[in-house]
Amino acid sequence: MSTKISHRIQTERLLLRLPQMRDAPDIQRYAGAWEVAVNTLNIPHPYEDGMAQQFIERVEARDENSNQYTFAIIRQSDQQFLGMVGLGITPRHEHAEIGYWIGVPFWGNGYATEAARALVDWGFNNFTLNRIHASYFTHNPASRRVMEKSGMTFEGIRRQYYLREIPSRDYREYVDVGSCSILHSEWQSGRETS
Amino acid sequence: MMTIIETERLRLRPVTLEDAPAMQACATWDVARTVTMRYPLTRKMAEAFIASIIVRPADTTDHFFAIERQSDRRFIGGCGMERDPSNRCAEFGYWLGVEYWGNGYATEAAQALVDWGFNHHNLNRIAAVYYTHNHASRRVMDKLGMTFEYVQRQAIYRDVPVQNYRAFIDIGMCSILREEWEARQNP
Repeated sequence: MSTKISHRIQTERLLLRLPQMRDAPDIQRYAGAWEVAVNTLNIPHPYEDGMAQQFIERVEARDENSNQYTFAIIRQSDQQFLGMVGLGITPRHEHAEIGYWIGVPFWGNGYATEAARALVDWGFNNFTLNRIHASYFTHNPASRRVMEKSGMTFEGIRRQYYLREIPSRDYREYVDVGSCSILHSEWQSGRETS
Repeated sequence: MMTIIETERLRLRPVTLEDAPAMQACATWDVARTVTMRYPLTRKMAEAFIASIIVRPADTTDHFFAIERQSDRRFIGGCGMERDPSNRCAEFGYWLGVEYWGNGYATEAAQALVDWGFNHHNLNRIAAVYYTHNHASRRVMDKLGMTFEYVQRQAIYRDVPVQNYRAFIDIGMCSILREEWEARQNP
């Protein structure tokens, strides 16, 4: 099914491509920001030397049975690394989850929305999907706006769903998790009217 | 270590292979269409399922109980709780054979599970999900003082060829937080 799926996605301003070893310093630099760590679930903090390389190795080692697809977000104009976006597919239920982060210096330019929209299209176009969903921490409403601008509908909030602990910063917080989703039928009619 | 939870009329106890015939008898289509279970559930499937539970280690975070009625020691259904200790949360589920519906057994078993979760496992949040067409299950959650959170639209896909049933199911989620459960203990 996925033998000929392109892992290069071009949008108006961005290129989404597989992360490479040369991205490691940028990944460490931008994922290492507190604002990124506190708004995501699995990014370690502090982001230490070697972690980016290990992450890239894990991504490179995946085969299509992993059903996980991860992209670096690159600004076309100057080849600047901006962040990452990914899609995790559950084939049995024909649904997928999208996740993303953007480096703090690049916030406020609509890059997350542009990347998320592109990945939603890529997901529905290349896989048998009925639903794509995404989650955000409610203390990060900007992420919900990205999801809604990507065509998703807000569904609801799971209260105190995660206990996010970042010992290096003495941070220990129960986070409320909001979720949004787009169904294939909604994506389809969104395309027909555009 | 055998966990047994007794309520007024029920006993939540470890499942055994001797329960396989009763489990199979309970797993009619009326039940199978309300929970994520295989249908039809053959004797072999029931035994394989039970065997997979029996081998779980004592420190498992994925618990399953047979629901036994004390009065006649009948196996009337199953329930379980999957814990996520690092997030101090859990999700539970339950089902009963149709002939046992309408007696408040699900509420009694679910309440016992919730109490056990908070009392014995230091949880902060306990949640449960239901297929939105299963209003009875939602009512159980309401009676436990759970808060409805939201519906995940078309979240799962069920394909039951023998019933010619193929559908995406809306899943409703309810939860109760530790502070809410404690308030119910001390009204």
